[in-house]
Amino acid sequence: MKSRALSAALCALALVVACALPTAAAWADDNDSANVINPLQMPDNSFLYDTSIYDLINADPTYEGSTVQITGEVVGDAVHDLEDEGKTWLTLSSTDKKAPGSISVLVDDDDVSLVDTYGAFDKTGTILRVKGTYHLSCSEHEGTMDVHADSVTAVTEGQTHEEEFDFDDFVPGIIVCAVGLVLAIAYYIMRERNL
Amino acid sequence: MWQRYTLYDVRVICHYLGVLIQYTGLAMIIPFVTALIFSEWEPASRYLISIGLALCLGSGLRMLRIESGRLNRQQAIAVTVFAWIVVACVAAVPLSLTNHYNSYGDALFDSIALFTTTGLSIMSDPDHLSIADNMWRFAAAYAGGVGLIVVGMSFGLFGRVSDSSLYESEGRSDHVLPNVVETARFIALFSASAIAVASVILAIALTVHGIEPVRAALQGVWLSIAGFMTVGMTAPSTNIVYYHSTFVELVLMVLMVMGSINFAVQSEILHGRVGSLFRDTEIKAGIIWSAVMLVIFIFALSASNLFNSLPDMLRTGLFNFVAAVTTTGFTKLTSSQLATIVPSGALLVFAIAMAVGGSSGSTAGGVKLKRVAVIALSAYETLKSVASPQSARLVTNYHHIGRRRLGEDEVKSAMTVFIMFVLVYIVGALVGVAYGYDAVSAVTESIAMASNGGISTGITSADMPALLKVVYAIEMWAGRLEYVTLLAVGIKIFVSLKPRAPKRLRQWRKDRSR
Repeated sequence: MKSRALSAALCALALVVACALPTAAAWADDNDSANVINPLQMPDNSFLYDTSIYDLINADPTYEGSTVQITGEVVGDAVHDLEDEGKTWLTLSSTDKKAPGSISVLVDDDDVSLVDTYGAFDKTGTILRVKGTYHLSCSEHEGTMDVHADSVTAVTEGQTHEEEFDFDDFVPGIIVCAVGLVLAIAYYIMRERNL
Repeated sequence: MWQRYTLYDVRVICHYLGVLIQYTGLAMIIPFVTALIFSEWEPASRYLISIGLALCLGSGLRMLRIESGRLNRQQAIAVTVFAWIVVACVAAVPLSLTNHYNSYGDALFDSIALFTTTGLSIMSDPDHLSIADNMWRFAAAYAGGVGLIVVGMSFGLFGRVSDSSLYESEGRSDHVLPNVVETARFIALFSASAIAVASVILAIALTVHGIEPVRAALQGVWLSIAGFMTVGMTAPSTNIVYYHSTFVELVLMVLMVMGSINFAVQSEILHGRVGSLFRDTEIKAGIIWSAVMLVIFIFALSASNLFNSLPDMLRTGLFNFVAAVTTTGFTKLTSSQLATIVPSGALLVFAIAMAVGGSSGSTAGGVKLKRVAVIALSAYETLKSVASPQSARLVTNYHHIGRRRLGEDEVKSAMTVFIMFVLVYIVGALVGVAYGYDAVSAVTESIAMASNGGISTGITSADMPALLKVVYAIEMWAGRLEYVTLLAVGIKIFVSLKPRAPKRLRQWRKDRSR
């Protein structure tokens, strides 16, 4: 009886210790880009890893018609699809500099409100995570390569990099232009004297 | 015997190149002002430095010969040949100062692609390029499409010294007006007018698609330039797919066709002589050629499972085909789609369509339909002569801005250019194959470069071998100049650099030949 109680107590202790252990040891580091965990994943299905936009635009046929999850920066503009009411095209650009590329994503008009900034020269667009169906050659859109979004989530807000006017940046240009103008005037004076 | 370039020739050539460089610097005021309007201070400072550098270099070169003097034919062809490379070098300076290129060489590659209207780019992350830089790229493409010498002439940069040799050395032979300067002005004005009208239409269309009015207006202008000048590039990285618009594609198809028709023929139409369009042998040849190739292309495409329905296939297939046959290079299919799922037969049709190209005296590249028609007529004449009595004297006429007789010189010239193009296509393809690329892709890429067609199968990228970049850049440059002028200047330079034989030896040779 005593030994049974002891073993039960040991089991309970082991369970408490196991529960108290940090989960990081069991899962890969969240910062490890090679093993990105989807924090939005529902518990009723398997894990879905981010697919590289680079792989998709390089026409990997293994992805054709499959559900993919891509994360990228929204660049350019939201382009309404006039032939498919309630749908808008976004362009998602890869955030991985070593694997660049961009792909068209068809989203619901309502999802466009998630985008606060569109990537451009002085802007970093909203980072979106899109789960949808990849089409190497879309039968609904004349054979173009695209992703039809099922769910869209904003991961990071966009940023505008306001560039401050700094006169010092223009000084070298002004000096070189002044030298160029002096040379041009010198040429015209020499030509006039020659005539 | 080849005539040597003298030091005097070099000074005169440098003087005129200096003029072009100075005005390239002044043209940079367009992106500079754009940068100021949109508060893009970093690009503004880059363009200010570039303007200054161009003014310094241009003025320095002009000083090599104070009195410009009249350009002779030999100097004119050298000015034309070097203008394209020198202007591209200067135009690449502000682009190379961005973080979108790995090196100045990469920026120069893009600059050459812009001026030659090839339109291919090895830039990284084009979606974050400044408005000013995009404005400069499309301005360069406009100047290249019209022709640097034509632009120079229309602005009077060559003053009263220009004659037809300067105009003709850029691959143009048809005179819209009796005076070449007036002809150049007509071409520049006509192109600008067509682009202006199309810009308004496209800007409205893009606004309807929900794009902000200012961005829609800018993209409308850029798309119009890219369409009419048969450049085929867009500001967004996904090319024409970005817009997902049938109407935009339709407007661009009209622009591409207009841009690839001889300006002289378009002038005839403007003057109410519409009949000349349908009588023109080159246009007729173009219609027959395009129809045959389109049918083959559609059949080749139908072998793939790219499209679900015939209307879809016709819409996308037609757009891509028009972009190829006019050597524009817009594409609804990504380079990876072209390389993987598009049947190699369809890709080959693309390549052949680009290789032949559009009309002579237009913005299109390639061998040109007129030359193909002349060679075909000559072949027909040969066959007819074999079947005719020995005493028969055969004369073949054709229509091209009036009725013309097929001459021996014309056939010889057409054959020479045709052979040159084919040789360059082959050499470029062999270099690609030697680097291990797929043969069909290498052939298509080489043709896309030399014909200035610009449809890539994915070989062209910042990571491609340096030698291939050089070969492709030369192909673009030589293809735009249609080889004859370039080769003539090359041989003349070689002869000029070869040391002269001693005077006594030359006298002895002279005496002996007597």
